[in-house]
Amino acid sequence: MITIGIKDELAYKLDYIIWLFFQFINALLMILIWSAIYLGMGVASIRGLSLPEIYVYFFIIYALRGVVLTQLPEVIEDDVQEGSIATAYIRPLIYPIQVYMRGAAQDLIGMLFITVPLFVIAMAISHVTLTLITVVLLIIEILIGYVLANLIGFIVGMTAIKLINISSLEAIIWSTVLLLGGGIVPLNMLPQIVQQILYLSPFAIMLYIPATTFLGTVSTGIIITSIFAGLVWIALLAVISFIAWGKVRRQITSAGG
Amino acid sequence: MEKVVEVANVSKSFKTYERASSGFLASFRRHYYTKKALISVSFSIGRGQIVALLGRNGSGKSTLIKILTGILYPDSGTVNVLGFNPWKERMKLAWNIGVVLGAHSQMYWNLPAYDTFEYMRKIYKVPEEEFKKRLAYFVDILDLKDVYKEPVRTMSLGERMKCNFVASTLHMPQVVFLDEPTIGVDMMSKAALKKAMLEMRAKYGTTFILTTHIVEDISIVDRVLMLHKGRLVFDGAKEKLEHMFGNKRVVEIKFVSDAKLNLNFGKVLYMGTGITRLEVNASVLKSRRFINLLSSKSIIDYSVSTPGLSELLAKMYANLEKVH
Repeated sequence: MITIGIKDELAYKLDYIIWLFFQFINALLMILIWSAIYLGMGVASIRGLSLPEIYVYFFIIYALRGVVLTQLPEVIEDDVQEGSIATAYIRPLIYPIQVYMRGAAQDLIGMLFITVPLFVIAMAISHVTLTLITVVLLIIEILIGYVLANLIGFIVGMTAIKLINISSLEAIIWSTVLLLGGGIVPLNMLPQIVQQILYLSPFAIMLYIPATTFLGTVSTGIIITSIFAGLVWIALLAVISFIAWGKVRRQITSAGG
Repeated sequence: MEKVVEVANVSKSFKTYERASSGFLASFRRHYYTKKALISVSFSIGRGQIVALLGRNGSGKSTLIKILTGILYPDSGTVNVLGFNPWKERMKLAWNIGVVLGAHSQMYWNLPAYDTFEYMRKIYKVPEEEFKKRLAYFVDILDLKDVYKEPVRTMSLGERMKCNFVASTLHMPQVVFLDEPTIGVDMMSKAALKKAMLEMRAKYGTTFILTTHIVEDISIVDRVLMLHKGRLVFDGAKEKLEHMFGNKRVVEIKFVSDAKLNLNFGKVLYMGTGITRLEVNASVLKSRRFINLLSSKSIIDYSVSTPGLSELLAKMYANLEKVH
């Protein structure tokens, strides 16, 4: 399923290359904006993050966007709108697994062509030396973030069975993930009380925690708190997904007629 | 005969809506109502039969197929397909059935058809050697050798439908459901699909259930089930359907244009200069008056034929509209 998904994603190579190019442009634009903020304020650092560290931070954030901004809701929405959800039902496969695999195929390519290169750029411009523990923590955090993103994506995608068109809802959800995950503003620049709440949310572990783990600017206590919170959220969202899917699948009428 | 499909008192309704009124505000106002798609439908199908599910658009054919394949749940009634409850045992049933949904392609649009076939091979765990043999068989019988390695988006509708058929039957299912498989398909492709169905039935005992509103599609079937507004109104052999209106004959007579003839034998279907077409009772053909007419020197030529099934069904639908 992943193989054919990757082939399908790369069917129009030029279009994909152009899309990839603009992901890098987006990262550079964010860096330009923050350069303007630092230079405009005339400061060397804001809340402990220097300008070079902000550059690295956002290269990591944009690398992680390839992991976190999953295609899952769009996959389900397309199936519902086109009625091809019926096609999924006639095969000896469980539908949620099918969509996860199809989303994973698209995500894998994103990781290969965006996440890895941006991580490489971040490593090249930073003076960070990654220890084994840091690498292990990064892998754990990214895995937790990926699972959380897919669970959120699946729950959002299932609303398409009722609402049919969820493009606006999708945009809101992913914007919320980016905002509350430190994808627009590093979380340590927010008020302390807000930071404490967000470390316990599913969002911090998706973006902010891996980025600051890489930089070495986040405390071990916060890392452990966020990892633990992430695991609890995985369990909770998995149960919600399972229950919701059981209820929603009886309502698939877009296939009927 | 072993039963592969058993349906008992199946009913299904959908909640849908229509616009409450016209104008700009109509976008915001909806009138919800319940549409009865199926009403107490019961029938059974034996192994190796080719059965057509006929009916006008909106008669419930596709809903019935989707219940039989486990895509939808009925509101009431029982269904047994190859010993499985389709919606409770969907996964187990899926290994043994193939489904061709005319409106929804299984093919990956941007990839060669072969890639989808290979994908299906892996899903259904078809051994490599067996897959090659079966693919060669289908490519030959459906004449796909020039196209199946090309992207699906470059194919004609007929070629895509044939590829859909292959994708749904590569695993040699016991029962194949085809929901409007010939919509927009050219004559050659239709003929190829029919040939494939007949061969599969003969060689492998495959059962086919085919929904259509196109009368010509039922030329190969053993049996016809007809739905009208969700009810099963006919269940029998195709010949029985024809015999319901089998008393009529169409006679075309060519005659000398200025001849004065008494053509009062039945309903005039067409009258032109020197030619007429009449619908008459079969008994008229043996009457002395008719025989005398045909013996007249003014008659140039004549032919007798049976009304097409299209006309027969049109009459049947008209009668059903009066009753329901």
